[in-house]
Amino acid sequence: MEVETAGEVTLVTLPARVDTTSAGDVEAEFRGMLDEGARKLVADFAANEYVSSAGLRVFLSVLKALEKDGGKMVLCSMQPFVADVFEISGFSGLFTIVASREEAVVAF
Amino acid sequence: MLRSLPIAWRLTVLVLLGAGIVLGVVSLVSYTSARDLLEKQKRAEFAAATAATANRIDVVGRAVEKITEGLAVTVDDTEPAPARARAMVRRTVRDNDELYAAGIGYEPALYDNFAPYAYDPSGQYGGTATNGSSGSDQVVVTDLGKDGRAYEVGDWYQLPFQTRHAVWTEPYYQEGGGDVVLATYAVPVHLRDDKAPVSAVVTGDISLFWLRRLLQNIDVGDSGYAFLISKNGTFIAHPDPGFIMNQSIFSVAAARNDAQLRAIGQKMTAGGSGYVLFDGLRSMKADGASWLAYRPVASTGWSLGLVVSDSAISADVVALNRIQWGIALVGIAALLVITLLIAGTITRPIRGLDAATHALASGDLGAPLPKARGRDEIARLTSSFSQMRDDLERHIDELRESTAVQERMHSELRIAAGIQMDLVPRTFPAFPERRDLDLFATLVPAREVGGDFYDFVEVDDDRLCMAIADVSGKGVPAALLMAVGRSFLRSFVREGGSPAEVVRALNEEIAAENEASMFITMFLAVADMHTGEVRYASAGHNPPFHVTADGAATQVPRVRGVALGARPGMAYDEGTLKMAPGDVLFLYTDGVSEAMDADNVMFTEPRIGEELATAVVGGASCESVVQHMLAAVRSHADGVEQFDDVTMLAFRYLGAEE
Repeated sequence: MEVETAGEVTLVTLPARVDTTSAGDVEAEFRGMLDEGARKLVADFAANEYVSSAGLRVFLSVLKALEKDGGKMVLCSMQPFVADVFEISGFSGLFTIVASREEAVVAF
Repeated sequence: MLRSLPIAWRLTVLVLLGAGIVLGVVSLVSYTSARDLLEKQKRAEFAAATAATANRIDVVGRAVEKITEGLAVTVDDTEPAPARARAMVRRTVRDNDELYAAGIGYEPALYDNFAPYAYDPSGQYGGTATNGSSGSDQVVVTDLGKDGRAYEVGDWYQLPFQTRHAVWTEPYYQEGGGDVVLATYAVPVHLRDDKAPVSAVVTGDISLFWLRRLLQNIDVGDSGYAFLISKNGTFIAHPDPGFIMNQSIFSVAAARNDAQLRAIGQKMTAGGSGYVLFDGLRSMKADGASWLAYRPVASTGWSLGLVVSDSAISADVVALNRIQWGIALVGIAALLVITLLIAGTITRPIRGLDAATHALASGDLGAPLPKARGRDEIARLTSSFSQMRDDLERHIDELRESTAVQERMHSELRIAAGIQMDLVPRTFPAFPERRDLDLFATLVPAREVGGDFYDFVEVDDDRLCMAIADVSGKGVPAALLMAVGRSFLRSFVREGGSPAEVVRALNEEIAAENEASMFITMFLAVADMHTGEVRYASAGHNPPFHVTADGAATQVPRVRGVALGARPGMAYDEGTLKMAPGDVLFLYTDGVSEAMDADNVMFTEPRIGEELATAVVGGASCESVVQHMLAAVRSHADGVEQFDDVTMLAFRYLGAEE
């Protein structure tokens, strides 16, 4: 996963698929960032085509960890299918979801 | 068989074989030429000895001839006078060591019976004395014609008298002279001229005793001997004194019935030379294979034979042979030892590797390997082997680990699958006594159990509750959460809350202790069998399809609701729909809509709608609808392994029972 920092904000570009095979690595990377003190995370879905329930779980888990430490997570640039997955599961209500990366950076 | 010997032995055997063959051929060749050379040499020595001895005898013979002829000339020139004649013969004997005796036999018809005869019993060559001094004056002079003896009848007189030639007589015992054996050279004297009658015969005698001694002193080896035969074949000298003058070569041949010996005798007496293998002549009996070399003594007409046993000739060769063999054996023994040693040093590391391999093969990976010395092939083999052993060890450890992991996983999966299968109702038809509904459901688990479940239960006589759910995650944790979810579901449904209330209560329960952030999506519906009205709530689940009897498939309108367990305190809305008799409600999980083919193309929800339209038409049973959908999904996947549980529930409202 590509990681950038813009000031206090950590921007993460997600891989094309977040499913059972990749969910573990993705979660591990997020946790690493949290351990290093990142509190403002942006997850960029521009390159992502598919998120399974295992993937949703990872996001839920990262969200809960962030909130415990007073951090915030913003999701951006979702493709229609992925946006629908978040919508149906109701997760769209749990996360802050914006259309673009630029909007995400200033959403904190 | 050779292949089963240890390498060191095989190497040794082969080297010895090769070296042995080469050595053998070389030895054979050199032995053969050495043997031939030796035999030739021996023969030459033998022949030379024979020739030399014959010569020596011949020399004496010629000397005697010369002396006697000289005396004859003198007699021829002088008037016969007794005193002078006696002096002449005396002087002749005294001055010539070769002579044993000399004599003049006057022709009795011409002169008186007078034959002066002088002899020296002690001469170097004469009598029985072993050491005579030359020129000694022990000469004795007698008269052979004394007292009127008829000396002229003797061979010594008659032969030259008749033939008018000088002649050597056959050996004979001396008359009145003891045991002396003599041979006489007799020369006829023609007084005045050749045509005149023979007036006297002059003789020179040699004693054959010295011959015997001469022959005894010839070196013919320990088992060799020499003999001398006269012109008639009579033995003049022989290792057995009994043979002398008593036997001839022909008498022995006759006694033995030996034709070869007789032939030899003929050749010898004819003056021939030769070298022949025969049966020996030491005694009357044949005494083993022997080699005979014979040469004539030209002057006297005798024949000399030297005999050595065949084994004596070949004794040297046999000795040579033995030496050869001895050297060869020592050589081979040394070669054996050296080859074994060398082969041993080469194969010692191999044997070490062999032992280590045995230990390794029986599982002892810690067995010590021989040290790799030097850089030759063996050393490289040893270090490769060591490398291989280490790799093997590591590989075995890794394998053990991964096997253990796999086994754990398998047992987990089996447990999870067991839990899952136990919790979903699988008896169909589910409500055989009811005629107002048709229901069928299926759950095809993925390899790694995905935690889907469905459930249906009669709330009361009029209402049926149906639910389908998808637990996030896989394996045992998912299965356990599913079990928990299902238990709460059943208990909340029995308490009689509305779908929204049940779902809300479920969320509170599950979200309460959720360290792992797992969640359940669920669709819950309660159908009233009188009215066909269906109330439902959804917690983040795929909206089911409502298919009318004529095949119009639409997704149920969405209602607000977050997946169960994500966060406590979530609100859930409720929806309603009306089913006409014959309508079908099709519940599914995302294992159906997200089933993927080899190109990662998903089945998709719209496709579900399309397939349903076809499947439902004509009043097909719910079971056939489900089977149709299952087949459609499988054909779409086209062999790609099923990734998520495929769960479907089809419910058809048949209208209120009367």
